[in-house]
Amino acid sequence: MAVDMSMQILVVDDYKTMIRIISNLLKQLGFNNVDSAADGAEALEKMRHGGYGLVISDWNMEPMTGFELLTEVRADAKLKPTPFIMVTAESKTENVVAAKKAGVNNYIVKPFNAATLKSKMVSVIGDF
Amino acid sequence: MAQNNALPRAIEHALSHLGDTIAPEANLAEVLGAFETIITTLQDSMNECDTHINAGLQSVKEIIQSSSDELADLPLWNIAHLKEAKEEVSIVVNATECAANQIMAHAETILNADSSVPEAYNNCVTDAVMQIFEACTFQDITGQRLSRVTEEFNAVESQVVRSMKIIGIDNSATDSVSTDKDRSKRDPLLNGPANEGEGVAQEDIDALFD
Repeated sequence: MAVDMSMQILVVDDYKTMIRIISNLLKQLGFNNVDSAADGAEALEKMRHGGYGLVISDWNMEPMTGFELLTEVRADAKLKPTPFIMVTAESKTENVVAAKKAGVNNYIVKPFNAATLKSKMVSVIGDF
Repeated sequence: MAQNNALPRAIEHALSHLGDTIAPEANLAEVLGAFETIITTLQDSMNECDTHINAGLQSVKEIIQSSSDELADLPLWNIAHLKEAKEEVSIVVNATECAANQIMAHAETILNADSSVPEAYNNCVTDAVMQIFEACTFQDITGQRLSRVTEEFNAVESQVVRSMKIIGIDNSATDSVSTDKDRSKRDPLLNGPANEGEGVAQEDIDALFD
């Protein structure tokens, strides 16, 4: 099934610089409908109001981490199917394993480049 | 300070008593008896001084012991953490230098690009700009590293303030223990950016998802 390039993507990170970077990368990839949240709690609130086709989230945030957000999303019947990619500096194996157990669709370690972001998005939402 | 004057008063009293007791024609036994009275009086006074001094010393000893016990009860702060914080700062310095060089290199690419062929020029500029954005990811990682350094300084400050309170040094500054941001206690998986050579490479992570 062809990827809907107009789908809304939610970028979650407490660093505005990172949101700006990922948003620009997404626009270069053809996704112009990008929203953002500064932490897991704000992201969860937005997700419960809007339909997002993909969530790209950092891990280390307050008051709700990206891992906690992932857990909440997977526990919510409506939000559960939402594709979720973790983009984080947390690079220990235990982190990746825990996120995978919690239901993350893919995991990108910072620093990353546009090619990595695209390849992980393709593996999660399909080719575009 | 009554006890400080007790001994001199006792001596004065004894000498006065001696003068009153011994008549000019007193015999040896009477003189010895008077001196015995003086000695007994002085001994009583000195015993009383000893008691006060001992009580004072005991009080000081108890204060020192109590302070020592309270200091010993403080959570151990590992000075090795300061060394780690210094290393974090050093890594930040290197990372920012590296990012600055990358950004400047890509900016130079744009400046030197041949604009005679618009499409090629456009692709060149776009590629360089995207690599500049990628280089800017240093800010996120350096920010996380510096946050850990800040937490370490907060821990040092807290320890110093608590120690000062225990030993009775007045300090008008309030405790600044940052418990709200003590994320690692709430989430043991929060380790922050890995140092070079540590952490898992993207290829190894990809293998877990294949």
